[in-house]
Amino acid sequence: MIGAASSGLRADRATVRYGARVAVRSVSLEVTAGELLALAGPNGSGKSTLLRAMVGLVPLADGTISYDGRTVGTQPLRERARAIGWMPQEEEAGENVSLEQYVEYGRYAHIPPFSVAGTKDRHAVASALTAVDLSRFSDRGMRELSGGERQRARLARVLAQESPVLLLDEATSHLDMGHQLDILARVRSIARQEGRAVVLALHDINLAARFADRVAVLSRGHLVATGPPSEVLSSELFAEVWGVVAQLRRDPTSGLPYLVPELPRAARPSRRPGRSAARVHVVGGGGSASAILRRLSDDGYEVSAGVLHLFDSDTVVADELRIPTALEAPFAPLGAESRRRNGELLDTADVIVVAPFPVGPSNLANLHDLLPRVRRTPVALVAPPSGIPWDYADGAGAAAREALLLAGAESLPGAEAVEGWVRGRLAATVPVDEVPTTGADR
Amino acid sequence: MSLNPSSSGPRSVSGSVFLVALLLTAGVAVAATAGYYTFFPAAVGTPAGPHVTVVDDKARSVTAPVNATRIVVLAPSVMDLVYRLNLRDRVVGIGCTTGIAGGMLNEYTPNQTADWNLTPGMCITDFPSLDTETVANLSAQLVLASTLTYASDIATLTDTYRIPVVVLAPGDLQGIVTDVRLLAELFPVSVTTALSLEAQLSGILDNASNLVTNLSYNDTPAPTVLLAYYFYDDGYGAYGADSFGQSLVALAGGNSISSNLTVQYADLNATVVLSEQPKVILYGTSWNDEWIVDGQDPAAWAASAPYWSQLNATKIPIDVTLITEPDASMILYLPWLEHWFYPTIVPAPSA
Amino acid sequence: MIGPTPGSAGTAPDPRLPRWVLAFLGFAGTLAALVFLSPAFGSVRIPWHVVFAIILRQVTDGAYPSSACGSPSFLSLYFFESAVTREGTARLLSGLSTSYGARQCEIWTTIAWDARMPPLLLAVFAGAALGISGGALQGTFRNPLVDPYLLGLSTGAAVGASILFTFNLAPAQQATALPLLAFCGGLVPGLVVYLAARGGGRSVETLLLTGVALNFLFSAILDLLLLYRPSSNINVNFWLLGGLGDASWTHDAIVLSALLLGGTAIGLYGRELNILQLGSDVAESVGVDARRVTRRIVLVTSLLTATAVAFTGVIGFVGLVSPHIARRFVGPDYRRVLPVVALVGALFLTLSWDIAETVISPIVLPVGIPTAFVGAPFFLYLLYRRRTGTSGSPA
Repeated sequence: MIGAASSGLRADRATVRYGARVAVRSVSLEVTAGELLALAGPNGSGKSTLLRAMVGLVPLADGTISYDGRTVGTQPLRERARAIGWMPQEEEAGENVSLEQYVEYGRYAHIPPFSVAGTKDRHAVASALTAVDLSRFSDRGMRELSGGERQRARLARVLAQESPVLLLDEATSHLDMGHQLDILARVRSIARQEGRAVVLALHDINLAARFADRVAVLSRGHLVATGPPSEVLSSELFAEVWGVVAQLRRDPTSGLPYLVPELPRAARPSRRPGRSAARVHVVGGGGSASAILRRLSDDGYEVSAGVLHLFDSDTVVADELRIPTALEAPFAPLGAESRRRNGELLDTADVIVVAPFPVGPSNLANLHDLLPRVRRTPVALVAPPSGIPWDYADGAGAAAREALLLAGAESLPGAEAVEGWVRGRLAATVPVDEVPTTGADR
Repeated sequence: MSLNPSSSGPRSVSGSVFLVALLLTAGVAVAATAGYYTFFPAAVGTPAGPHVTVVDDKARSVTAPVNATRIVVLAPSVMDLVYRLNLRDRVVGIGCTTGIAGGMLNEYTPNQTADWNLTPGMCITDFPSLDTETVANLSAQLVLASTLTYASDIATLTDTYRIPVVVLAPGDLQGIVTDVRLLAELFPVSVTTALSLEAQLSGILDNASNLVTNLSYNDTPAPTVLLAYYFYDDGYGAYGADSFGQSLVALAGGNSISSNLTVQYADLNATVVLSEQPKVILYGTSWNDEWIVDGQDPAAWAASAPYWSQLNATKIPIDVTLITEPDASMILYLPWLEHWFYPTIVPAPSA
Repeated sequence: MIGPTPGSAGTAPDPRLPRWVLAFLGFAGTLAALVFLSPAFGSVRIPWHVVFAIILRQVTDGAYPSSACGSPSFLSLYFFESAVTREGTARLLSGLSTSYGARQCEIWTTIAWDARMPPLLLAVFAGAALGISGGALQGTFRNPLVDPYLLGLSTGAAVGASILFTFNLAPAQQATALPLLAFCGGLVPGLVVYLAARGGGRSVETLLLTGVALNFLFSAILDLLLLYRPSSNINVNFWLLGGLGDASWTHDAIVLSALLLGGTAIGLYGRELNILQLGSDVAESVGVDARRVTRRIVLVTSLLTATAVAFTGVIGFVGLVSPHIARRFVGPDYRRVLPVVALVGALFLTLSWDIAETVISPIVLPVGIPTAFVGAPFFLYLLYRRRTGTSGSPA
């Protein structure tokens, strides 16, 4: 509707200099109508500067930026404002005008000189307010809005401009999660339905991947990657651009990729010089052990797990964390091979943690196999959350648990207690001065 | 390089051009109307009744009613002449620094107030600017101004209220005589008195110059004179060249020790006075000096002047208005100066 | 702007006039009342009904009323007046005719119309000029402490005036030469700031500081001139304090024309000024040529203020305080503030002129003194009152 006839915004080897410093280095990219291009990159990578150059607020040292075939900056100001809307990261507080009045400022380019706002303008304002869910505040003064509401108001102003090109600089950074997702979803639907070309600068690459049709990644002024999110996102890119090691995961619901930065690994607590590091074996399944696996792994312990079934969610986590695991085929009862392997891991572990996994006939053996080891190695049983059924083995699971407790296993109230117990257990068998602190902060 | 070339769309150009043209026309119309009324004001009617045109001391040509019955006098020096010409009854207002600036007695001494029968009700404020409204409200037909009156006030009187203003500002003693004649032109009813006053004043001036000529012919030495209107810690306020005080002393045959000072009212250092040792010292006293209020004797007051006891001179106190206000009284005082300068040659004038 | 707007669903239409309209009418009404009442005061006290009748007669070119000083049966003002003066009461009680002699009437007409009206109208026009200039500049520079003199206009004009007094130029045509020289002097700093703004890429802070620097420079030049000829000191000082007493109809016409032209030009930029408050970047992105608007407003306010100052001398506070008062009543929307601030400025200066004329009558104070005495405490009151309350509701 709005951008039907336009051919989009294109930057061709655009270069921006601030004195001697080059802020944007020969960036070429293109946004077409109906598309949402996310401009991602760490702070200082030139995202804001590139957006400013696109709207014509800073001059280009080299290259061109053109819209609909015409170089930006050659048209009169009003015409350009009708074509390109820009939402800044921050703006001056301004006076305490009403929200409606403020959004109407966006209509400036559409109101001829010496005229007043017309019906069309009022409708644009109203729909912009609806789009950011601020309609009920239209009479409030700008200074009475919260930071998040002001950010949405800014977006409404830009939306009211009804420009075929939208340049949004950090449109959601002050908003709470719910509003962030909501606003970005609306922006994307506006882009698609109204045929607008939207460039969205974000520093959160996961948000970018979630909502954008294409992602352009900037690093120190260079354009290092462009393309659909699934092609662009990778751990290597993340490490190179943001300098943080991250893991690439997939959102199970949408299939979209997202990056999770790895936490810095603490030094591993060692038992004695010369011996291998402390190892914790975790028995689990059905997702019960995921948190425990992660935590212990972050704390720097060597972790092993078993017996887990393939494609179990705990298995996925273990796989990611590269934890040695005794595996069994999906839903199959534990076979001899897997139990033997598990036994190896159990025998060489310093402590054993049993997550509150749902017990059924196929994995009852996990509990039985612990009995012989419970006297030799500290075993902790994490109590299952009350009210949730976990024994699908007609009471055999509960019985096995009881037996283990009677044999000397300890009961922990919840997964949070695991770390402390492990630490305590290991310290008890290790001279104090050889146990370093873990220090990893979640 | 400008990124934002400014140009409005075609529709708004014609809009703004139209508006600018409209406003320009409005502005020009207003200015033209005002200008018309200013530069072509309604014809100024000549004053009703007989009138006379004179040229005043500022070379202004003024048309005034003859023998005006309601006049305003703005300075004591003018009032002196007006009184001597028996025109006092026509005076409806006098210029005073009223209110916070002093009051009537700031300008007129008690003697003047008594002699001329002045009342505070006649006062019209003349500082910091003249209260022209009251002048108009008194239906004044003529204003006699002095050198102290501001041009802007004169302009207001003549332009806004159409009241003629004649400025009496004599530049020297002879100018005072001219002013008598000027007043006679304005008030023919006083011609007889004016003529006799003129004769009297001219006579004094002639006598004085004759005396000076004779004395110099006889090589009589001129006394060195200090004419001081004030003293302070280390000096005296004296009269420099081109001042009335200076011409009085010269005309009376004295040799003022401050005649070389360039400023009319100048400060003379006390050590200079001491070294000059003038023969005659005339020191001005003002009626509202503190010592008068305290009831002191002028000689006792003057004793505190610098080096006073070391100055061997005839020391005579004189009313300061007689040497600062250029009017008939000033000329009539001349014979006294002659007497004090040459006590053996010139007898004291009859009081 | 009047009535409900789409989007504020559910609110009934407000039958009363919007606040800004009430403020506008209130100020305009008060100003009109002052214009009619002020000529009654001065060293000669003229009855109010006579003043009213005089003004009406002049405006209707003598048609109505037939006599300015006739019996004021139709004016209740008379009763108020007579009640407060003993002679008036006596007259009322004795039932004497209250008409005055023709000669007295003529004198009063001259005093009220020819002598008092031009300075009064100059106060109205110059006050409006200073007010609207101050409002526009505060908006352009996004700084509530800006007044038209910050750009150096007043000191420039003072230098122009003192050049005339120091070198005793054109003593015969001083009435014309003084405003002309003051105007040219005042324009110089304004033009410098305008050219600086034209240079491109200057932030408003830089422009402001340019003006401040010029202020200091011209102040120093002024001091030099006064040092050169100390006797001209008193003339310059008097001019610096501000005075309306030498006003003529021509002066009024010139200032009014400047006010109409300049004021309208400024008033047309109301919407742009609103948007400028968000910063020049945002303004440009929305389509407002921030630099061009700044340049033009600097130019127009320089011309307007220099014209006013040329005829009135330096009168402080009007341009600084009036926008704050206007914003308090009308809200932050410049489209409404600008017309109202002109009225507020006119009202402020007219009130100060009335005070200057009457407080130590018959001596007339320089106008700059009452504006400071009234303006400064009022400004402080506004400042400190704001802290305790809300920051003002949107209009």
